[in-house]
Amino acid sequence: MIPPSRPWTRRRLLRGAGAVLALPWLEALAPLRAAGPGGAPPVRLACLFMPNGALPRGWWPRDEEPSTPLPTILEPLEPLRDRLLLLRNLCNRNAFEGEGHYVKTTSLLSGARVRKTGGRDVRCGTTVDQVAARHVGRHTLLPSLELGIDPPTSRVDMGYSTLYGSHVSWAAPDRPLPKEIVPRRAFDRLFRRVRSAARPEDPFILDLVLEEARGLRRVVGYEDRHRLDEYLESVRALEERLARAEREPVNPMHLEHLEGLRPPEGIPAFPEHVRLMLEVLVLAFRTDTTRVATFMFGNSVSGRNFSFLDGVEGGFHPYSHHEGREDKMAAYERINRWHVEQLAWFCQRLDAIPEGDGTLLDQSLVLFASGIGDGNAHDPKCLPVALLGRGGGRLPRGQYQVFPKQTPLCGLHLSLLHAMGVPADSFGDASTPLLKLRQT
Amino acid sequence: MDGPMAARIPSLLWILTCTASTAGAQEGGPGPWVEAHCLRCHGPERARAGIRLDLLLGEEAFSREARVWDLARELVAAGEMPPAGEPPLPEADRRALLAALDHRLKALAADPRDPGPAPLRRLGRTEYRNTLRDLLGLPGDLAWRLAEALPRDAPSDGFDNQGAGLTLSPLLLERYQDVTEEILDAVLALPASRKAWTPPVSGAGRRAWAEERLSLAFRRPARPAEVEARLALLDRVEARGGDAAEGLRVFLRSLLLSPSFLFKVESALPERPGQRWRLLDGYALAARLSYFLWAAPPDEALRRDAATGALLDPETLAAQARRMLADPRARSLAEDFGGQWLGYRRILDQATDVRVYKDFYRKGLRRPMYEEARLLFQTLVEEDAPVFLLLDAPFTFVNGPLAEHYGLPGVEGPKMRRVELPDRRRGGVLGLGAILTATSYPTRTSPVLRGAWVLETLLGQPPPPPPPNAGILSSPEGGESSRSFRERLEAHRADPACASCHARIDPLGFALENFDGIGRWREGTEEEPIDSLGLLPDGSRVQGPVGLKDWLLEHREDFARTFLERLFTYGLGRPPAFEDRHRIQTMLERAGDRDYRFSAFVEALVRSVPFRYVRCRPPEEESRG
Repeated sequence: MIPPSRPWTRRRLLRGAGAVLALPWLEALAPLRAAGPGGAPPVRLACLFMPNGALPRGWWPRDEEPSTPLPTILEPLEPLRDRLLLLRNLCNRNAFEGEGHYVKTTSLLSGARVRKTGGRDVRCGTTVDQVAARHVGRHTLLPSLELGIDPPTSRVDMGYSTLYGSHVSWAAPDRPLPKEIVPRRAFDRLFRRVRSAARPEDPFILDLVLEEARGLRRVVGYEDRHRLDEYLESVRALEERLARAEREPVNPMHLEHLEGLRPPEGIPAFPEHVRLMLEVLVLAFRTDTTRVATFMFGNSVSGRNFSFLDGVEGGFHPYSHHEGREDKMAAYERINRWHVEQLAWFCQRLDAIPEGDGTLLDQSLVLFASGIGDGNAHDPKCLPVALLGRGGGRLPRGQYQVFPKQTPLCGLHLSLLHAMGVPADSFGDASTPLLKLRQT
Repeated sequence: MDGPMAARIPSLLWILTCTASTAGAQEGGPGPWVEAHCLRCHGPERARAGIRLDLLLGEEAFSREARVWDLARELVAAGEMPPAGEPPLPEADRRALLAALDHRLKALAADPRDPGPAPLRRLGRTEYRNTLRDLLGLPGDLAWRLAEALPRDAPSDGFDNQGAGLTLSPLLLERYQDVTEEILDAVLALPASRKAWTPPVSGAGRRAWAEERLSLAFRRPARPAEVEARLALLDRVEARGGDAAEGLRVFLRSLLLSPSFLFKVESALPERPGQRWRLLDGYALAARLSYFLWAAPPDEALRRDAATGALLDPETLAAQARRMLADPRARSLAEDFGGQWLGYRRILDQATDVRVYKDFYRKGLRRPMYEEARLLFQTLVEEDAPVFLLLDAPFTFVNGPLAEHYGLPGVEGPKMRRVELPDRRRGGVLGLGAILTATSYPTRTSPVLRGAWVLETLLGQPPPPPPPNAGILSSPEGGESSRSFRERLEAHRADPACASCHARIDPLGFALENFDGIGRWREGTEEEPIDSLGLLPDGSRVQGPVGLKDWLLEHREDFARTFLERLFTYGLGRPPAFEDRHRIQTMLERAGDRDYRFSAFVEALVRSVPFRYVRCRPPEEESRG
C-alpha cells in the first residue's frame, strides 16, 4: 500500500477554483429527495467508457512512487490524485478472442462471453451497473441512466453486430440497454415528473394497456414473450413513477430554476455535447434521481474526427492504429488525454458539491476504462482502468496498484458491487474482490 | 459464469462422450474427426480466422452456426482444408468427416413447408412516423419531427426493422408517452384530423365510431372488449366534465400506447390439430406487405382485400405488391432498404475532415450525395430495371455543386437532375460519392474498407475477423515516405495470418483508388501516380472502377443472391437461416426468369412460404403458457 502523496490538497485547489463552486444552479437545487439508508448519503456508480484504447506509454506511470508525476494522458487528474486508483494489469479474459473492438466493448462491464451474431440473437452478460441498479435502483426515480454520444450503427462487421460496439450496459444477457444521446431529452427525463401535469385518466390507461399486453402474451410464441415482458416491465416503471410523483410533490420554485438549466434543443458540436451529457449526469447524481449510470464517449471503433485538438488531424480509430509512428502516437495520446480532461472536469464538478462530511465525489465511484489497451494491437490484456472517488469512504486512498499479469477485471467489478452495498460472492470470471474495502 | 460458454461446455462434453461410444457411426456427429484434424488451428489454442470449431460442436451451436459448418464441408470436400503445409487428411477420415457433416447438415435443412421463425416486431421509428402520417392524417414532415423524439432503434443484421433489434425499455416507453402528448397537440391543431378523431357525443354512433377507429389503429378488426374499455374511458372523461378535446386525448392515448398498436402482432388462420404451420390471415398479410414495401400501414385497397380474404391467394398478394411498388410510398425502399443495405444512409451523419476535404462542406455535398444514391435506387424500383443497374448505370443524379465535384459540365443550381454519363467510370454504386465517402477515413481513402464493402455488401462474403494480434502495420523503415501505403499494406500481407483475407479484400479497394476520400476523380501526378490495379488471388486483374464493374458483372449471380438475401432480411425482419438456402435458390431462379428485375425479387419473396406462413406454437408451450 502506498500512501497518497498529498492528502486533501484538492480542497485547497477547489476553493481556488471558485468558478466551479459559484455556479448558482448547484445551490438552487437542494436535493430533491433525502437519501440513503441510515441517513448516510448513498454511494453512486458512474462507468465512463472511452473507445479505441489508450497509448500505454502515456497512461502508465514509470514507477509506483507516489511522487512520480502522472504521465501525459493522466496528468489532468493530478488535482484528484488522492482519490485516483490506477489499476494495472487488469484484463477481460472472455474478450481475448472474437474480434478487435465490439466484443471487448460490450463485455467490459460484465466479463461475459459475447455471442457471434449479426444481431438476431445477441448475447453477452448482465453488467455490473445493472446488477447494482437492481439493488439500489428502487430507491430512486430512475434505477439507472444510460448516456452516450453516438447513435447505434447499422452494420454487421466481422460477423458481429455493431450493436455490441454501441452498448456497454446490459440489463440481462439478452438485453442491451439503449442510451440517450440528446442532452435536452436526457435532462427532461430526470425531471419528467416535475414537468408533466397529472392527468386523471392515466392510471386507467396504463391499466388497460397492461391488460392488453398480458392478453397478447398468452397468444404469441414462447420466444416473443420476452418482448411483451419488456413492455410490461416498462409500463410498470411508468406506473411507479406516476405514483411517486403523487407522493412527492415538487417545490414549484425548482421548476423555474430547472427551466433555466434545460440544455438547448438538438445536438451541439462534439466537445460541447460531451460536457452537456456529463452535466446531466452530475445533475442526476446531485438530485439523487439515480445512483447508477454509464456514459459512452463514443461507440467502439469510433472514427470521430478530433482535429479540433492541436496536432490532431483525423479520426480517433485510425490514430489508434498508430503503427508505432511517432506523429500518430502523439495524436493518439492527445485524443486520450482529451478524454481524461473531460473525466477530470466531471469529477471536479462532483467534488464541488458538498454531501455528508465530504463531497459528492467522495460518495461516488467513477470508473473510467476502455475495452482495449494499445489500440494498435487491439490488446485486451492490460486495460486502461482508472477509478475515482471514495465510494463513501470505502475505497482506499489514491494510489497506483500493479497487479499480477492478467488479473481479472471482474474482481474490480465485484469490489464496486461491495462498495455499493450489493452482496455478491462472485462476478463474471472473478470470485475474489480486487480491492480491500474499508467498513463504514 | 454468464453467457453461452457455460451452456456450451457440457454439450461439448456430451457430444464427445457419445461419439466415443458410437465411433464410426455418422449419427455420432463430426466430433472425433474435427478434434483430430481441425482443432489445432480452429480450437482454443489458435482460433484461425476467428473460428473455434470446438465451440460449435454442440447441437444448438451447430445449428446456429450451420453456415460455418457448411463452409467447412465445402473446403474439406474441395481439398482446401487442411491447408497446404498442414498434415493432409487421411482419405478414410476425410470421407467419415464429410459423411458426418452431411448427415447433420441434412437434418437441419428442414421441411420445405416450415416457414421458420417470425419474430414479433415493434414499429420501428420510420414505421411509427409513417403510421402517424397515414392513421392520423399528419403531414409527413410534421410526423417526422414528432417521431424523431424517439431514440433510433438498434439495428440488427444491418437493418433497423429487425425483430431482434426492436427492444422496448422504460426509456423508450417514456418517450412514447411524451411523444404521444405532442402528437395529440398536433392532431388538435389540424382541423381534419381533429374532426376524424373527436369522439361523437355519447350515444348510438359512438360505439361504431370507436370500433372503426380502433380497427384502423390496430390494423385488424377491434375486439369487443377493446372497444368497451375505450368507451368506459370516454365515460370517465364525461363524468368529470371533460370536453370533446379531452375525450380525443384520452381515447388516442389509449390507442397509441397499446401493445396492439406499437407491435405488429400477426394473427393467423385457425389452427387444426396436428398442424405445424398455418397461413397468416388477411390482416397480417396486409400489414406485412405494407410495412415491407412502404414502411407504412395498409391502405384502403389492402384492407379491403384483407377483409374479404382475397389476400390469402398468392396471385392477389403479388398483384397488390405490383400495385404498391408504383405508389409514391414505395420510395421508402430507396431510403430504408437501399440506404441501409448499401450504406449510403451513413453519409447523413458521417464526419469527414473539414480541413482535408473542404469542398465537402463548402459545396454542401452531403445531402446531394445522399440524394444521388437514393434516386439511383428509386430509379431501379420505378423503372423495374434488372438489379444489375446498381452495378453499372449509364446515368446518375447531380445538382450543380455535385456535378462540379464530379467534373460533369453543364449542370447548375441546387436541384437534382438526371444526367447521362460520358463514360462508365462513374455510374452505379461504385461511383456514388455517398458510398465512396462512407467507406473512407475522415482524411484519406481506405482500400481495405472499400474492398471489404464490395465483398460484404455486394457479394455477401463478409471477410472473417482479423486474428487477435492483427492490425499492426509495420513501421516504415528509414522515414515516412520511403514506402507507399500500398507497399506497407503488402508487407503486412506477407504475414500468412493476414494474407489469405487481405489478398481478397485489398485488390478490390485498390481498383477504386482513382476516387479520393470524398469521391472526387483523381489522376495522380508523375511523382505520385494513382495505382488502381488490383491483382486477385485467382490471377484476375481488376483495373480501375471500370475493371471492377466488369469483374462484378461476371459475378452477377453472387450479387443477385446477396440482393435477395438482404431483401429477405428487410422484408421478414430476420435474416435467412441456413434452412432457407434452398428456398433462396428457388426464389433466385424465379427472379432470373424475369431478368432479375426488381419486382421479380419482390414477387418471389411475397409468394414464398416464410412470407405467408408462420409456425404453430409447439404443443408443450400451450401448457406452459
